[in-house]
Amino acid sequence: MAKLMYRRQIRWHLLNQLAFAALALFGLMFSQHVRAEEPILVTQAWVREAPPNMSAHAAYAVLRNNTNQERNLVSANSSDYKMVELHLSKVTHGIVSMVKQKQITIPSKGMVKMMPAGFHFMLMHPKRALRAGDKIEITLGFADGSKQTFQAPIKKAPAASGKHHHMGH
Amino acid sequence: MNWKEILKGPISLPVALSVLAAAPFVGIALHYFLADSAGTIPTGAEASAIKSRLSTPQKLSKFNLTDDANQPIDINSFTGKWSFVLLGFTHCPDVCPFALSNLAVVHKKMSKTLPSDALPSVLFVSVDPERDQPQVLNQYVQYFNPDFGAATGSTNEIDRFVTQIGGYYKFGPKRGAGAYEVTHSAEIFVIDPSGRVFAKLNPPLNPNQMTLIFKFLVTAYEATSKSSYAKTSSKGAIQGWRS
Repeated sequence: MAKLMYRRQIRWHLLNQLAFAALALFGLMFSQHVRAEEPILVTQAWVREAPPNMSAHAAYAVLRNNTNQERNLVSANSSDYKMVELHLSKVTHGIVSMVKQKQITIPSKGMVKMMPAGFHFMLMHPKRALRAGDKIEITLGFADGSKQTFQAPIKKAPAASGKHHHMGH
Repeated sequence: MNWKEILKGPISLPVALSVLAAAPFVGIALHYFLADSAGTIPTGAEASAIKSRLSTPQKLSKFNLTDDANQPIDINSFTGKWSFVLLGFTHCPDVCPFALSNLAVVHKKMSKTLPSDALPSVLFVSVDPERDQPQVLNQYVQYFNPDFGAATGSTNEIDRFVTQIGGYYKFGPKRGAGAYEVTHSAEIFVIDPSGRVFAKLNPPLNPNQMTLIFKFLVTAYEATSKSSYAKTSSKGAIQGWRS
């Protein structure tokens, strides 16, 4: 009986250790996101799944600048699209316009949150049909000539998660 | 019991695991609870409804558009039901799909509390007929909700319609590879059952408030034109755009 209890305790002990190992692994996975060598930390990247046969798609991401210098994003491209442009959608006095941006400045120790009805990557002429669950790669080009690549999954739009323009403006 | 004992004790694992497993669900439940309780505060919705109303509803008159099933659309298509009209173009990658997917969420939420014959029809009017033929529009709008409709027409007829609803659009310069943007009204034009622009809503619509805002608008409309609405609605329900 005592032996059985002892065994049970050992089993629990092993399970406990396993749980800790799993947690540690989790932590490691998250820490992978914060790679010190990348001057721009790209998170929350996604491409809005578009209706079939649409030639223009939009991608969004949060670009965080961890360096002491501002960084100027001047281009973007993806092997899955013929052309990628930087755009800003603006709603002024109830009228929406989309303006191509020559550059998007990410301030030092600051960030730019690209989101629906705001800054976005305009992805033109997809080379293959892209559906929710697929992934693309986007390469950012900065004014200093450096480049950085990140992955963005294609997603169905989450409900009302964009720049809020309050009613009655 | 100190922290070490808790971790080493025989019940620590199941307890710890169940707490860990439950945490996201508690978070989600809390999120929905907070979101829902925020949605039931009527002051915001009533204020929004009042703000969105036109001081004088604008009566639509003559225009001829074609819907995404190649059927003609004129003033008669708008009478006897409520409609939400928005302007746009399918080559718009950001704001138009954002507005339509939000409208789909709003519509779904409204359909939970409103009978189908009281739901507004949703019509996407493309101001870019060169690129948006009816079949293109059909594929586009159906993606967001099979009940949504779309329409376009000749430049003349689009101009007539846009002027009557008090909307705006303007073509941008042609860029490389024939691409161009179109600047356009962002509002949702609310057309009442008498075929008048009754209100203009600014996107993105708040799904938690929209049913209430719409109910306020319907009440305001019925208070001013009770008899005519009763007459038109007794003719029978009009559900999606197509029916």
